[in-house]
Amino acid sequence: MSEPRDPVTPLLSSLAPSEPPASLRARTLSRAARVWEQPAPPDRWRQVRESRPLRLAWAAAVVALIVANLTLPSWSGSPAGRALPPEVAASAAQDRELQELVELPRLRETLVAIETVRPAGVPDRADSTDLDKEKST
Amino acid sequence: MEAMTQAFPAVAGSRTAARWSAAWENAEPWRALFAELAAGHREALGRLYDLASGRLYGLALWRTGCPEDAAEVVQEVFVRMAEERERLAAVRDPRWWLLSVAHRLAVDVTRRRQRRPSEPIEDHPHLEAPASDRAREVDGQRAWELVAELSPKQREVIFLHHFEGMSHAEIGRSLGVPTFTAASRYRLGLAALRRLLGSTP
Repeated sequence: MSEPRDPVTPLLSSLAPSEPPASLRARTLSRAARVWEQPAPPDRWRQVRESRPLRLAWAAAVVALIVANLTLPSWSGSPAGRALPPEVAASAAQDRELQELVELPRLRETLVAIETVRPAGVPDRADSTDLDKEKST
Repeated sequence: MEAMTQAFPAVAGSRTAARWSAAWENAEPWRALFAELAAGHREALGRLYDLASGRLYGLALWRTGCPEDAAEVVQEVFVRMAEERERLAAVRDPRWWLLSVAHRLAVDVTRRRQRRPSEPIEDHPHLEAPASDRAREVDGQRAWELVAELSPKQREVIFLHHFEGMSHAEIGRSLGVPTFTAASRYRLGLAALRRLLGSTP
């Protein structure tokens, strides 16, 4: 199958996009010149560095973080060496029981195969109960 | 489609990608101009305008579809250069920098224009026939009517590829999109044009 023809080349051949209007040069350059005469706006990072309130805010944030890091207790991991309050310990024990109930061991494929593929001649549970009944009679 | 494409025969001696790209091939003059601007030589702006305005205006015009918006974009690009003149020396390739800035500004202008009523894009034919072949002016108008049906993204890529002779990788670089995306937009634009040509009586 051949590639479809490019429709752009014949459509646009010999045509050219419009040139900018002649007056645009003067307008553009005069506007740029006006901006050029103004002092260049300072760099943002320099503005941050040279601004007293921003520096104070930054220093206050750093101090607050350090103080918080030193004073607040760490909640990560188990609180080793620390006795839990009784109500917390009780709820934790409940949670463990609940977790054990929820996390039942998964059925393994091999076990399922043993259950379903029964050797010939071995009766299933319904048959075996019938046999037991016959024996008893 | 065949009948329609025959209505637009190729004419030799036209302004093609070759002429438009002549000043684009070599990055050195652009770097030198940017270095001059960074050193504080304002007169370099005029030379830069002569080099870049056609391409920037064309890109903005095909993206926005409005001559006023395109002129605004060109002016804004030069205002940016004046504002950021101290950092221009650090620009690795001024050509991509200029196109990227023009593209972003054109996108912004298009977004702003969506919030206010504007004339239909077809009302401004932006394809000119060569002076030697004025009969093609009607063709230019008809061709623009078809091009106007495309999305701005597709128009932009077709402009850069067809008129500026840029590869998909170069287009992707200047528009800030992956090469694949640029190629995909071009391919979809071609497909849409093919469809439009097929449905044109």
